[in-house]
Amino acid sequence: MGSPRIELKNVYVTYQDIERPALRKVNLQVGESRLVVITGPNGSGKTTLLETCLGLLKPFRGVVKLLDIPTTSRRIYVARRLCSYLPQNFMRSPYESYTIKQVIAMSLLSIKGSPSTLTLEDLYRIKNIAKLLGIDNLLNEPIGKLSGGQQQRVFLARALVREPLVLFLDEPFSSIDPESREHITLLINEYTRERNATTLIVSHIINKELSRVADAVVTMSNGELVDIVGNLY
Amino acid sequence: MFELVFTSLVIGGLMLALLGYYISRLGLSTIAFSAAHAALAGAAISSILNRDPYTLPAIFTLCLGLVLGVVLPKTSIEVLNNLSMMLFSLFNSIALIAIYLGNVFVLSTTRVGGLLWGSPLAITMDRFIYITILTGVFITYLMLYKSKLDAIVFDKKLAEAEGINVQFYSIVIITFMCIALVLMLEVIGGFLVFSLIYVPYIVSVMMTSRADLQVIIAGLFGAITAPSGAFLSLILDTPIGSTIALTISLSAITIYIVKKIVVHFRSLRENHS
Repeated sequence: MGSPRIELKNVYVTYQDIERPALRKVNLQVGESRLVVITGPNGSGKTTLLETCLGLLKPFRGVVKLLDIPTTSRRIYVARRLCSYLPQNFMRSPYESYTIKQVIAMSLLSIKGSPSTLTLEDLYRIKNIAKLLGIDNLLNEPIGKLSGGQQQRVFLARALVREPLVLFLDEPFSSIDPESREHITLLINEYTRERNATTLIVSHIINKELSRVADAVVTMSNGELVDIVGNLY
Repeated sequence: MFELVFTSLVIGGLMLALLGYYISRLGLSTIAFSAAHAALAGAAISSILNRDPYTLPAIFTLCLGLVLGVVLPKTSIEVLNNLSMMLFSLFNSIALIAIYLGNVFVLSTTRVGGLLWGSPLAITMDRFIYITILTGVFITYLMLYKSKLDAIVFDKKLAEAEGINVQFYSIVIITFMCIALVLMLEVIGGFLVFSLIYVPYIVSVMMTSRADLQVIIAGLFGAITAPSGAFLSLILDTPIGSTIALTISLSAITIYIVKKIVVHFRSLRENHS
């Protein structure tokens, strides 16, 4: 078995001017082809954990590695290009002028060299993923004009279109209607298995499908991992 | 001489407007504002010391721009805005004290007049060449890295998470802006050069909701209104910088009113049908 895709060793993270660490004594190793759900009450550190894994937050103690690269290294940008992220705060203002196609294409173009243009294959990939998420008829609409649920689907399409090795999804079902949650859960699971990807999902809601397909459920409380059920690695 | 002035203003207006679009969308407007006044302070000191018009303004504005660019990812946008506005006041006062301490009569000279309200005489062949080169380099940069800039403009945090070095690209844009400000400062005047950065962006947003067209509209607006203002100043015998700023502002207000009228009549027609 190769090295873990995500590795945290005795990690402590704190926000500026706040004494109490947002993450404490976190030890975690997640391997390939794993779908892991991180759950816990508000303020338990779930989003902080995702952002720490990506290197957006740096630990003041401990080591975090993403795809075997320490998040404090300059090379973390190389690792991030092989990952995707769906943020919790995804809602755009009604005046946001980028079209859905542009928003999805941005994540593809940003990992290419410069100058970068979309190939026919890229366009096919964008259309295909948009169709799977039911937003293919909205591709030329400005994202600001869409509902919360539709915008969340756009961000999910943006994350999947890159075909990442590691997928970080922060509350991906928060604005999705209950009927579609199952379909999207299956889509994420299928992607994880087919591509041998690693998927970390932060979610308050663990629907029936999600608990069925997850390899492990990690529960957090007060910045600590308090329970791990299943196989992470 | 006039051909040189108008051509410089077409190119310079285009450059400042394109830069302004990205500066505004990246939330760096207050940095641009304080950088313009840092360049003004540098230019005021260099004019009093009778030095060349580029070195000191470039040092002042680049130092400020790069320091704020480094601070940028480590702080919130509110703190950055507050810091920029404090530095704006500081550099403004330095500029005025420098001019005052230099010599009261010096206020009547073309050089100091240019600093405050702009002068067509500031456009020399050297300056024209610098403006043209900078615009060419910036447009090439845009063509090469537009996709990455768009990703940052759309969402900085997401772009960073997807492997784009947001700080690097922000610093590059700030550096372009600082150099552009130094080159255009004495043409348009230290207090008004900012209008060519911000107003074209506002106009582009008013005119279309499509992001790819907004950048083109902003650039065209800058390239048309800057030389138009210079032409008006020639006819009216008014200071070039103020007349350019007046032309830009009045054009923006006119576009706003026309758009409101069009939207009003369109909704009336839809209600009738």
